[in-house]
Amino acid sequence: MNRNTPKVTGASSLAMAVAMGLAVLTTAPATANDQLVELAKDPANWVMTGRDYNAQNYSEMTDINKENVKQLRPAWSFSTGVLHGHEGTPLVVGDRMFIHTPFPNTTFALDLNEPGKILWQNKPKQNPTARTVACCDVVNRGLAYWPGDDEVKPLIFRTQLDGHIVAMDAETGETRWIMENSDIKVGSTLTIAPYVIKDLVLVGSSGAELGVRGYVTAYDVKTGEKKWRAFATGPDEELLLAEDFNAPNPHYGQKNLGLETWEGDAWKIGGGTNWGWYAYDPEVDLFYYGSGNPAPWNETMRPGDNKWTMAIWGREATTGEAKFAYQKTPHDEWDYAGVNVMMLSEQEDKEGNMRKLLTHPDRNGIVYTLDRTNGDLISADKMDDTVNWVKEVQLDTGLPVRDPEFGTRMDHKARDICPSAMGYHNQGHDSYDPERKVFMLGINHICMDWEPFMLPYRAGQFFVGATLTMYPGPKGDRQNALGLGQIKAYDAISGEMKWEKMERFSVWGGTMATAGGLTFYGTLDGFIKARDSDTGDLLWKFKLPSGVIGHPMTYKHDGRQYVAIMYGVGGWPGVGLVFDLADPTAGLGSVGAFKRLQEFTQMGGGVMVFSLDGESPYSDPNVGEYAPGEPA
Amino acid sequence: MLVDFRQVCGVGVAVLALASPALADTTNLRVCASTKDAPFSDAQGRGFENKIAQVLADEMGATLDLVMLEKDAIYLVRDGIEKDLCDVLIGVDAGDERLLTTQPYYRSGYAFVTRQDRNFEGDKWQDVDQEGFDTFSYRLHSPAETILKYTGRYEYNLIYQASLTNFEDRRNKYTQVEASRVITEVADGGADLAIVFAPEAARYVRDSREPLRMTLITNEIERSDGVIIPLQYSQSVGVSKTHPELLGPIEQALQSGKARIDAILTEEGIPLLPSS
Repeated sequence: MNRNTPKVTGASSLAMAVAMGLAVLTTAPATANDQLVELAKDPANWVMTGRDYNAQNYSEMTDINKENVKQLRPAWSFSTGVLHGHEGTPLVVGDRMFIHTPFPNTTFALDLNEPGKILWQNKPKQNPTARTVACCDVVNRGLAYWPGDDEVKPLIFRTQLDGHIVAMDAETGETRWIMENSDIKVGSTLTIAPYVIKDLVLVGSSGAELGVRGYVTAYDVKTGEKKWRAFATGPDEELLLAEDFNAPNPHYGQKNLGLETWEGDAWKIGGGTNWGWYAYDPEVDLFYYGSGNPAPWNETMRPGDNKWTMAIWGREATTGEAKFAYQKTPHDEWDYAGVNVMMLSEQEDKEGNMRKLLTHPDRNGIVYTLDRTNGDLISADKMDDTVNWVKEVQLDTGLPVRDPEFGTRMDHKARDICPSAMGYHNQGHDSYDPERKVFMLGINHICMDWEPFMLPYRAGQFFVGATLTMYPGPKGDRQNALGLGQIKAYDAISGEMKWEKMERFSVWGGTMATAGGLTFYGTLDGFIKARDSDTGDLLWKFKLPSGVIGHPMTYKHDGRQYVAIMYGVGGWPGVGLVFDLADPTAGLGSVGAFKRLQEFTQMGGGVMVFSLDGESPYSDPNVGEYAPGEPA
Repeated sequence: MLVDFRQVCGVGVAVLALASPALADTTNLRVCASTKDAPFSDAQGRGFENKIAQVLADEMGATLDLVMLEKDAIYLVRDGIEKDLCDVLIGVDAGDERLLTTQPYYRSGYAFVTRQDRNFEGDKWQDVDQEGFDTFSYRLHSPAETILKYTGRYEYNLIYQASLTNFEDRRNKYTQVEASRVITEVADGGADLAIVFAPEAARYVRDSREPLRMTLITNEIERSDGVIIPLQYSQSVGVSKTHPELLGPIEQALQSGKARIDAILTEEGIPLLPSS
């Protein structure tokens, strides 16, 4: 069954036809990614979720710095009109800010010269069923920008919870094309931020909880034509494995494992969706991302390593071909979905060789650093010394050495497994400071009890389940259910933490580092904070209208540096608050872990922008004033 | 009907547990049943096993103490028998190792249910794989899942099935499709075919305004690891292992009340198989 028929509606059908016509005329090789690289070189812009292809969330700007950060004040703000969790961050290109929202996934464009006026908004009509299909709140992680060429003007891409990918004219907001990437009728939704490489837009998939078989798909930016699709499980030709796949590291496994590491046809509903973040190295011409947890959720139902779920992938953008994949958690037992951020850096390894690296703080509590040209495993360190499901990750074999005491196998009640199913690190987009050579990690400090059970019934029926309870890790305050998060500065070469601080709740949304020596992040209880990147000292904070699960960004407009962040509590840690759940084991135990969150924040949704002394276009009070008789 | 009927939950449970004697009192037949297990048992006591429980009590000259748990029936052994709220379950697989079981009092099997006008033919589990039959309703956690997996029909159908539980998160919670829903889906055309343990479906097939066809499946599944998954099951009365003295009187009651029990099963419309 073809689930990928293009959907063209009303006014956009003409645009679609025009676009397809134009595509035929296109013969010159793509240069759009060069343009994106150029645009990202200007620190005034923030052209993709991780700022540039390195996904470092790092800004070279120093106007706001350790000395003056105390003077940061609100400059202006924008309400999205949507409650629920706001993940990700806005984009800024030139004079424009592009803002996404959770379901109903409205897109806004603001004029930075006069941010009080909405340039355009594009609000899709979506099948409301999407809301029930989504597992963990109705979040969305952001937008992508394609800079345009001689034939097609710049585009903004968004994903919709109902499984569609949409291209909009960045100038007018008009829908250019819309494609069904994931069929909500089969439980597949979309929450990931799309990602532009060359003239392709990449989209992942969500819904492993419901047995969706994960894939990443590339579409032609101009027409929406599907160029390739690569699955996480199944036959090699559907995984799009390159001829020399994993040749430098054959011990990671090579051919036919997407079938052989599953029982029967279980790979068809094996999960491995990807709803996290991408990074791209234009020189190596590989992009990187993580595939998520295997399905079904209960491990006893799916014997085997379940490849290639839980893997770090390096694929060629043009063909989708995989050059390497490294499976971090073979046969996952804990729901440690491996979709987290991939941050690219160039650093000297312990032997003093300059290497192109990829660093990935995984949900399983290990920070992995790989050589991103070939997949070599360089380091695998515990994010916190309380990680206990694994004793160590062997660098030569790549295998985790498990501690059976903290497994979730049947007939064993595992207590105090660290991390919990939420991971010590979840979807937050973290940052890398290339001057200090440290990664700023926002961390969950949450552990869990996991009690599996098997109940037989009659006529061959039986139920396999588990009861999960989550609570603060050993360094938190278990009595009072606080101390659920940490923020740390991590050196991937030495494996050491330069500094670390505890937080009341998880640092769920991620961090941003700047050359001003600052690390910014938002907290679930609704603060944006700035710390000294050298010491971790807290230098500034501001109370936002609602909790944060997105990451900060910075841009420059009219010579002034701004820091922006989305607020709007929700997502997995907020499910209890958002859906008013009381059972502590609901949300896989999230409700119990975050039971005190409601004492600190309530739902909201918007963007808050800061500048030194709160200077903004409206510092001149006449800007944007109503003037009778003037054209609107 | 003389049923000493108790809705037991919370405080009621505690009181009852405290009152329970060390040795089972054969003048008081303590039977656990679920409020959510129609057609076997329901909150109003209209399940056919609720009726059989009364027959047994009558034949034993005992008073029926029907302990109703507001839980799915899958929890009755763990949360009823093992917590000493009751001593007896009316319908369990013969030989269920968690309990002492009587001689089986009936035998039935998994069945296909279709609309009569669909002219479905076939009585082997492999026969679900037919052109024009694409959507399947079934009860979760049952061999119906194995049948669909082994015929390559499971994956496509997964989300239709999830819609029957309103996409409830199945990760760490027991979810189930009501047996009546499995059948009404077929009658209403939502599902092309139901795969269901016939006793669970019988009364709904019988009462459907849309004429339905129920066909017992005649073969068994050999799993890829060689394990046989039967599709036909003998049903017995289950007795708590701590009260073996109850087994004899219940066996006797099954014998003396056989005609009445058979009448209940026949009235229910359950297709019966010879005891094996």
